[in-house]
Order: sequence, then structure tokens, then C-alpha cells
Amino acid sequence: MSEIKGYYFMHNKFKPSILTIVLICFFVLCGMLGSTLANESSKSLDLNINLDLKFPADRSKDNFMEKYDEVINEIAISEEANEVVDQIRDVFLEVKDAKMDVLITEIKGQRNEEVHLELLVGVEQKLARLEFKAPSALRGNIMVLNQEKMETKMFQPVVNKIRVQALEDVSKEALSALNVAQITSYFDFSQYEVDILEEVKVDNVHDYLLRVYASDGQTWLVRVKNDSWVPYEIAVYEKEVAMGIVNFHNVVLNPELSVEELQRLPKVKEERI
Amino acid sequence: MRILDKIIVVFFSVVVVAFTLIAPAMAFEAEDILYGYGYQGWLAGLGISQENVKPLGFFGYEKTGIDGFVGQNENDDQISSWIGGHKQVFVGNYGYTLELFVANTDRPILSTFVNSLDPHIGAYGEFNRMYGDFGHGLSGTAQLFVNEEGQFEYCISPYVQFNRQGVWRFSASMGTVFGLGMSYLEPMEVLKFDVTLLDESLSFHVLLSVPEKPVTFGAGWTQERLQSFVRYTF
Repeated sequence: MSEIKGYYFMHNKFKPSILTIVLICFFVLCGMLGSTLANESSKSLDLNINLDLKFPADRSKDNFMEKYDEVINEIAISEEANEVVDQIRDVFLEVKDAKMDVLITEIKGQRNEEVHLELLVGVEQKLARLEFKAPSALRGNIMVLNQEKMETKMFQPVVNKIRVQALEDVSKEALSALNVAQITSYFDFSQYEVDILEEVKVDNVHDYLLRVYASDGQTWLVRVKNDSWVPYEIAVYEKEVAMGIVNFHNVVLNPELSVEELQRLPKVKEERI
Repeated sequence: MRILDKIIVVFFSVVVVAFTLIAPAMAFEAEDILYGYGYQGWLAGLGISQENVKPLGFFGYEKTGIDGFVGQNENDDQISSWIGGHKQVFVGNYGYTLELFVANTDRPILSTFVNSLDPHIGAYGEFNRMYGDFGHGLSGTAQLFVNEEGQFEYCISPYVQFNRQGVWRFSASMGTVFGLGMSYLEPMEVLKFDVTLLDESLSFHVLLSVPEKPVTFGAGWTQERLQSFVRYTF
């Protein structure tokens, strides 16, 4: 976590695109103004001050070349970032269903709250099944979202019943944010500005750390390996403050889940509210 | 003011509070008629219930309601009645219930088993915490009788609960009476039974619903007296 934070803050101090252009313009102008001023000064002023203007001019030239190389390198990284983003998008483009373990860590000041669940998603069936494993306050609760019927079925061990509820009654905010049919689009980062903060190669597998400038002032740090191109960690920051981390484990894409598997709930009494 | 007057004032205050709590709960309603036979001969009765359910986000809901019944035994001049208002909240693996009631019969166990008592006001509360398939909780009942003695009874029952092909609950009762209890609720709620041993007195109640039909059969054996009934909900 501290490593992620370190990278984040280190790179956040340096706004690459705008700052680089400003610096280049600054050095070019300095170079031009420096030589002009030197000529003008030597012509109009007859002072015994001997200014060595050659040194700064050479230095600005060095800086210019340095910045030029940096910009060129950055363009190369951006192309690589685009490539990574495209790979991730392409993986999820053809996904019909998926199965994964999700660990959501919400950072609340000094303490973290973790929610562990198993997620099954059927894009074509417009079904999602969430089985909560932790915390103990939610363990055993199972939720099935049916976007076609616009309803949720929630099994609660505390009453040993299934509560059937219209989606619109659950939460309007959640409803507007949730779209099972387009759930894979959540992994399409191509609409955002993305750059690569880190690339590590272990056993011929490249592990990337991407920085995604999402909407609403949020920044996501996404970790993805090129053996699957499925993100395995997304850390969410808001105004440089860590909000939470989502980890994906045991991800299986297109496991051909049946409708029965996606809707599987204990055989108990249903109560419609 | 005599103690009886004080009790009557409290009695009506509780009724008013109960109705105030339940006033918004007018969404659902159900009535049932009861016909049975027991140690006091034939029994006929009528029950009512109204309940309002309010969702509490993705993980919870709240129920507020009122239910009650009146019944008449063949060999008893007194009409037996029970009326109560309740509030239940379930969020995630937590649940609690609060209930206030006025009655001149026992608080119904599983359903309606008439056992005439002095008029009384009472309260029932329960807290339940599950951890998936198992959990624990605490329930408590307090009753204040509206008679010359102003008799007060209470009972606190800690319990453990298991969800294995239904809900199994094992409890211990402490208070005015001491004992042990066990209850079972079948997953589809077709079969329910309850066994208690209170002060060396064994009670057994069973309730059997006919799936997809508004008919329920019940039988109970308590204090060496047997009752059975059929209930039709409409």
C-alpha cells in the first residue's frame, strides 16, 4: 500500500504533459531571450561587466535536450499505456459471463473495513449473484440481481427467508450505477487518461501499474498482468486520499454459467415486499 | 388512586402507544377464522393482522404491524383476546423485534392456543445475531397483570440458533419460570414445532400449513391439556 502511495505521490508532483510543455517553452524562450539580451546589452551598454552568457545558453540547450528526451520517452509510455488499456478492453469485450472472488477494502481513517464476496455475472442473462463471505455481519447473505425483471432476491440467514424486492425500491442511486448487461464496460479504461507508473517483469509475465484519471476527481491505480489482462487490483484515490481497494481473485471468464447457477438460492420461503 | 386504577391507566396508555406506533402500518391485511377443540370444549375465533414493510437499503427491511384475535370457548363465559403491535428490523445478520400487547390469554406460541389468564399488558423483545449458518440471541417477555395483586411476570431466554434444513433454536428460560426449550421451523415454513420444559411442565406445539392453501392445522399439549384447531386465512 505504501509502495502504491509512494508512486502515486511521486508521480502526482509531476504533471507530465502540461508541465513538460511549459518547461520546454520556458527553456526555448530563455535561450532566445538570453542570446538577444546578450547581443543588445553588448551593443547599447558600455559597461565593464563581463557577462558570460554562453554558459547558460549551453545549459538551456542541455535542458532542452533532456526535456526533449523525456517527452519522447513519455510518448512511448503513453503508447504502451494505450496498448495495455486496449488489451484489457479486448479481453472483456467478448465476455458473456464471469466468476470471481472480490475483496473490497474500504479505508476509513485508521481502520479498514473488508467485504469479501463471490461474484457471478451473466451478461446475456442480465443476472448477477453475490454471495457474501465476510464480514460476519453479512456472511451467508446471498443477493441475486435480475435486471431483466428489475428485481433483487436477497437471502438473509437471520430470517431464513428470501426477500424479493423491486430494484427501484432498493436504491435509486445503486440502480443508476448498476448495469449488469454492461458490467464488463467497467474495465474499459480507454475513455480516461491513463499512464503507466510501473512495469515489472517476473517469469516472462509483465505486471503493470496503471494510473487512471477517472471522473469525479478520482484516480484509480490499476494492477494488471499481461498473462490474462484481467485487472487484479484497483486502488481508488480521491483528492490524493486513499478511499479503498478492490481485489479480484480466481477470475474465470466465460465459465458458461447456467441461469440456475446464477440464480441459485437456498430453498426457503420467499417474501415479496 | 388504587393500584387497580393505576394499572388501568397504564393499560390504556400502552394501548394508545401501540396504536400510535402501528398507525402507518396499513398496507397489508389478513384475516383468519379459527375453529378448534380443546379442554374447554369447542372453540371459535377470529384473527386480524396488518403489516407494513419498509426496505432499508440492500441489506435490510423493517416491519411494523398489528395483529390480534378474539376467541370463545364453549365452556368458558369469558371471551379470550390478544392484541399486539410489533416492530421488527432485520439488517444483514442482525435482527431485533419489539412487541407490545394487551391480552387475557397467553401470548400465542406458533399460532393461537387459547389459555385464559387475567387481563394483562406485556412486552416482548428479541435480539438475534447470525454468523451465516449459526447464531445466537436473547429474547425477553414481561407481563403486568391487571388484577388486585398487580402481579408481574418476566422471562429472559438466551438461545443459540442453527440453520440446517430449517431453523433450529435451543433456549434456556430464566425469570419467574425456569426451563429449557427447542423449536424448529421448516425452510418453507410448512412445519413448525416447539417443545418447552418450564418448571417441570412439558409443553408441545405443532403447526402444519398446507402449501399454496390458506389452511393451517395446529395442535398443542400444555399442562396436560390438549388443544387442536384448523385455521383458514382469507
